[in-house]
Amino acid sequence: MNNQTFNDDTDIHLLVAAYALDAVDDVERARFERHLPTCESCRNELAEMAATVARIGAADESAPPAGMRDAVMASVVKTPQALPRTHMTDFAEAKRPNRAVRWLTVAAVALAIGSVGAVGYGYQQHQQVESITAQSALVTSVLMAPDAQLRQMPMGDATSTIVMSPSEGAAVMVASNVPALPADQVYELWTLTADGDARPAGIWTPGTSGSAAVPIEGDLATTAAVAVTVEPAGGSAKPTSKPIASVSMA
Amino acid sequence: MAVTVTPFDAQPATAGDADAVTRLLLLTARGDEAAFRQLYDQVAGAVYGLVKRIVRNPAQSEEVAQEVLVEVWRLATRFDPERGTGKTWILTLAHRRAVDRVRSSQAATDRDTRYGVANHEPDHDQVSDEAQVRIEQRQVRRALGELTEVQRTAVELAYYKGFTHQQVAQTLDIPLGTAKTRLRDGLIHLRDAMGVTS
Repeated sequence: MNNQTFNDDTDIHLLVAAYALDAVDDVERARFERHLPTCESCRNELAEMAATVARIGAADESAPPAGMRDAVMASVVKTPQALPRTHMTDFAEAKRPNRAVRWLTVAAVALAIGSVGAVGYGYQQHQQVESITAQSALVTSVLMAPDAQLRQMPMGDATSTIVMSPSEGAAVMVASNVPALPADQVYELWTLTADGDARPAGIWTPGTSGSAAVPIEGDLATTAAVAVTVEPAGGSAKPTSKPIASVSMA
Repeated sequence: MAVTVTPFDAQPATAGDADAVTRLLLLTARGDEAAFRQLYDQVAGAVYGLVKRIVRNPAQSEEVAQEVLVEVWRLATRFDPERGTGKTWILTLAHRRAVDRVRSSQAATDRDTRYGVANHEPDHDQVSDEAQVRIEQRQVRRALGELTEVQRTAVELAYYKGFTHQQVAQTLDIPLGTAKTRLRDGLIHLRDAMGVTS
């Protein structure tokens, strides 16, 4: 996790080229992909830059190995296609974990959400988990980290858990049964320093099923607690309402 | 790539090569395996070549290219023709996966030993139009050659070596903000030099 990049919110637009070139880390990628839907000029610039980057790549065309076609077709026959997505950009596709990884993620998310029994995941839960894992490679890598630590964060009737991985240097919030907000409001995450200074750590809204899996932005090393408030659409630089949830990270 | 949004149905019937890829990708999105087979023949060379340029090891490159092409099948349902051409979408995916592979170097070392015996003879039936490729290569090289040295090195480190902009900044000993700006200026120049309009 990189403080310098994180705290420098003013120049997220400058990340377009780095993003188009994949010259970003997972945290920056997640952050930029949250920014994209809100910024038409970045979307337009990215479209041109992605086309330019693709032209560089197309120049290296080379005959594929014999047998690759058959191998691909053999896989395709066994591979179901993803459900169409409705709310994320096509550039935002998360890294697809392999089967073993996916099941570990199912277990981690189920544990985190605390709403699914230890055995026998129903189809619906599985679908829900699949859509959660698709949100971001970062979320997956944190949930998957061998050193992932879970902290329950009560949030009214909702269930939420902070999952933090020191080795990944990152944390995510996983929540379920989160009430929808009016269109002019969002949930906002905060990281609090030991002095009680609140730093914005990302805005989010729950999915239609009331679930969310959101990367927590900011420097974990100086984070004493994580909190959530309800803020006007677009988020706030400082909390404007009392936290609806908080948990100590110490 | 459509900055002004053009509905796919409104595109002219006389589609060029790139539009053929877009059309096949949209058919693939409906589960059309025959269309995907044609799509493979159109893009496999570009995907493999791009991946090999970055990953370098032929056996690993084959593995990554194969994963990318299966991903193209799996994620075709998420392709949005209003955001760009099919070829751009596919090569974006390929570059992302190639860079992922380069960055997980330990995993790569493990795979070296496991897949070291993979067959990587070229398939001569699928050799794409060499002349066309050479023209593309010349254009890209010329466009890269027109950049300032810092711009060119920054773009090359990012594109071919999978460096993050922070690693670019560190390597070139320039401030972070400058690295981002050089990448951006470099891409804007390449865009203009290669006449990327779509």
